[in-house]
Amino acid sequence: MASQLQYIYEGKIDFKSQHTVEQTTRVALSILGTVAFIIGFVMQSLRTTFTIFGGGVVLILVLAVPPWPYLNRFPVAWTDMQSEESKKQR
Amino acid sequence: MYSSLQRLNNLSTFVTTCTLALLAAISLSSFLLATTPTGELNVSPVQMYDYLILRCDRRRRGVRNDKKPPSSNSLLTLVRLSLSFPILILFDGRNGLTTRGLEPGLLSRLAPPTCKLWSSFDCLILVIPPCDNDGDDATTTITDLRPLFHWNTKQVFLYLCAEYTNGKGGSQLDNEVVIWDRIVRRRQDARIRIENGQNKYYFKEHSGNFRNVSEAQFTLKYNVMPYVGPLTYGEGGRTKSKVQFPKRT
Repeated sequence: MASQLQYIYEGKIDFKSQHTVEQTTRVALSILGTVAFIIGFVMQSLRTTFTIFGGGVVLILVLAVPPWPYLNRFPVAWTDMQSEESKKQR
Repeated sequence: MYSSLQRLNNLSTFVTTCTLALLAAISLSSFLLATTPTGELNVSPVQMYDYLILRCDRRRRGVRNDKKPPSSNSLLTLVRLSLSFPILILFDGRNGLTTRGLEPGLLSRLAPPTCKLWSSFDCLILVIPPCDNDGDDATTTITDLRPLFHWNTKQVFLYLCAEYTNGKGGSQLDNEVVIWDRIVRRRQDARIRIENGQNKYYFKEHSGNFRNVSEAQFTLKYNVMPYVGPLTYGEGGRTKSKVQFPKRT
């Protein structure tokens, strides 16, 4: 249990996903803001605008912040550890 | 983006930026949507009635519980007593008290609604002595303010002003007195019609009396209060002809 919480708290994802998350969330939030404004302007209701915007923000946070498995699809391929004797020999 | 907290931090910063951009867009949009009110909008010439708040000594109020109306001598006595501050004494007009030509029903209707009622009194006295006077007026207004209500309108503040100049010769002052106001919160309430209305606030002239005062013009002004953005003002209408203040006899 503790190790699971620690895993979520640390939230490590691979480097490719980090880049993807950064770009995707920025684009998604910009589009969300525009869409929320347009729909609210057409419906003439501020409540609609902020409901759409708030709901979209929560959805994006849920999809991007925790370390989901789909964000860990390309883990770094570390090389094998060299043994102690081979290090001493060098 | 290497940990959950870092992603949360990054995302919340960008969400804040997006929210601010959205609010700026909303406040700019109200400039596109703002229109002046159309349709019938007039403040018909007002009439003024002359009445006074009876001043009396603080010690004497709340004493009269008997049904006998006070004699005219005692009215004068009341007026002549120490004039500390103005209080409106309210009674109900069953005792047939004569008040120099003004019937009790009209007097009770003219009393401003902001006064306090003391239940120990039982007849209405409003005396018009030959000194200070307050103005009172009746207006008929039909106003259609629905174009002012868009998605960014929180409420519309309407107010009726009396504009006049007082003073003689070189020392003339422009006065603008608010005598009535109303807050309109919804589009459904934006059609306003007032007949035989009455000023909500005391209409008192700063110099003490209305003798050296020019004719008055009444204007209906509005102030649109948005959810996001700057306040905007406008004028809804004004009386076509100026109104004289009643002269003392």
